[in-house]
Amino acid sequence: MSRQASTHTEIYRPYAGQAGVRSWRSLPLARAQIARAFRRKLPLILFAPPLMATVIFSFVVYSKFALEAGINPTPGVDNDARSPAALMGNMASNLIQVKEQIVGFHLAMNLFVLLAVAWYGAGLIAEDRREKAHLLYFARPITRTDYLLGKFLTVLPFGAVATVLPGIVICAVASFASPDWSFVREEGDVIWKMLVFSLVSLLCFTSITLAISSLCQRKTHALAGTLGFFLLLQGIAALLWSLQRDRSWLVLSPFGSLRRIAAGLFEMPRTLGMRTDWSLSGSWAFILGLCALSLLILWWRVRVMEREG
Amino acid sequence: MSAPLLEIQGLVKNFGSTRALDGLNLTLERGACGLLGPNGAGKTTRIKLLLGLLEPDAGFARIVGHDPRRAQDRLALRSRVGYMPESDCLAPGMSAVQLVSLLGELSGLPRDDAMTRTHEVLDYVGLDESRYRPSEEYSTGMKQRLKLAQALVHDPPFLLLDEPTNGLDPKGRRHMLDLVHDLGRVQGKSLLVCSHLLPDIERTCEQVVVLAKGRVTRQNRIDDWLHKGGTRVRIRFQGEPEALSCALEELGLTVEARDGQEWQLLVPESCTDYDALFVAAARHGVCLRMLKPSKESLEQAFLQELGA
Repeated sequence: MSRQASTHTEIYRPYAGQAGVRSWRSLPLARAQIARAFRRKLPLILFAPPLMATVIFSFVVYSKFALEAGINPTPGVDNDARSPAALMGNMASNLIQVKEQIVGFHLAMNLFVLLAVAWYGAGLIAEDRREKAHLLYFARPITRTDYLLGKFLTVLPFGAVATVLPGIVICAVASFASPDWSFVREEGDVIWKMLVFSLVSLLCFTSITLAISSLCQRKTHALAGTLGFFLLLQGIAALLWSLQRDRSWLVLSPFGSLRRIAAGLFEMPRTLGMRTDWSLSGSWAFILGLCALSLLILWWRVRVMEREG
Repeated sequence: MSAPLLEIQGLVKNFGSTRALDGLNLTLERGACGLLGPNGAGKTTRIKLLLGLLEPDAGFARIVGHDPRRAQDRLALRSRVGYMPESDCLAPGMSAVQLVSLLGELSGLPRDDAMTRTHEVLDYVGLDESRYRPSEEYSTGMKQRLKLAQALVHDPPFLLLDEPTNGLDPKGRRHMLDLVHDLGRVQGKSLLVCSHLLPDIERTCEQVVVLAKGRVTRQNRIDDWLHKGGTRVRIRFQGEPEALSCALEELGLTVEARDGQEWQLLVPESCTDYDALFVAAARHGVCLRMLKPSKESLEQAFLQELGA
């Protein structure tokens, strides 16, 4: 014969504490959604390429400083100026620049950052709309800003793992490997520029993903829409470039504009072997315009969700 | 004297050219109240206005002492009101425990308290081990109980329940009505229950508000409404209906409904002697075969109200 557990009392117990309006209301929302995202392990494979690239780029940066110091990574070799180690050191000093490595890493990994952000962000608002979960959220003491901030705080950590964290690791390797902290003293500005560039690209990818998510009712639709949006702009920019023989059309591509912004920030005339001579201010305007437009769409859609239910 | 739970004055809300609320006036004291009205009467609009999800075009509302038009008040009132929506609305991929504790935290409970409360309210609504399963796998009855649990997690003094028995089988419906009844009558919560199922309102509420075309057409205690103008009795007779009509006219009784040889009469409170009815009927050659009090249902009264 089955018996109910003693804890199953079905007696209503009044709450003895005090519920009230608290600050940082978006944090529980973000925490719950990040925990939910971790329930599926397979998508974590999206972080494998950035992880491998971090190891490779860190090793290159370490090798540069090790060779520069005339120390062969294999100890016990003569440090004569004409020795192979010294020659290698000179070559490394001339050929390998830390900022080039960092820019190279970020530009090479942008696609994976977009994939990670799109995977983890596409369903956030679309699924809420489909399941009408927003009815429950907006009946709580949270504002539209809290709700949106909760969504951003859910996606940003996943994007940061693919872009900010590797950048910090590469900078840390450069700092520790450089003799007398020469990297920090001489090229310290690379660190904050890396952070600015990572955050700009993350904000761009995240806001566009969430805006498209707010227009859809299924994660798959939002995912396809996000990737399609980037592909479409990339395609249009590439087509106009090849038809008009004018590189300035690349400003219409988010990846192209981010490349130009990176070149401008790090003061590099070429990135990944390509001349970046189109308008820097145009690229900034395009990326910030996309972000602003996405935020406007998000605000409008969330307002509609709150009111229409 | 304590402030009214809900005070609405001249509330107007238009959606384009459609007027959803048309100068709504209403004052509710604490207790359980049913909100009745045909589709499009403005019930859901009113709930959204009360939660501050919609801005009124004119008029004002005050709920548990807060004005939903003011941002700070709006947040404070949402932490004191529990809302159980009509439609299925659950966060995908979350179990009942995760969802209810998240909503508890969003309502302002500390994290540990939110988890404790979650298990207490899930116990109360009768969600057992299934509370750890993803909520999209739940049956309709379990989803309804989960929605009630999330409305209760922060222990609000006022609950807005929109169609709480929607889609439930008879057993589930009875269980849900027991819970709502317990919350209103035993736990002392104030309830506003929207339902199309009038017996549900009759079972769980003390008073009723009828909305039609964006206005309140009636606000009564249910008992007062059902016993309006006297007592209802049903009689069955043998004989000429015209003769019985004459007898009833002599006694001052009104015939409310005729169904062949079975009629429903309205007997004024002043008339307590049913023997006179038998005597008068016999005098007109009519034999009364049955006389029993008629319990008028809320549904009949509601239909009469709409008809009027």
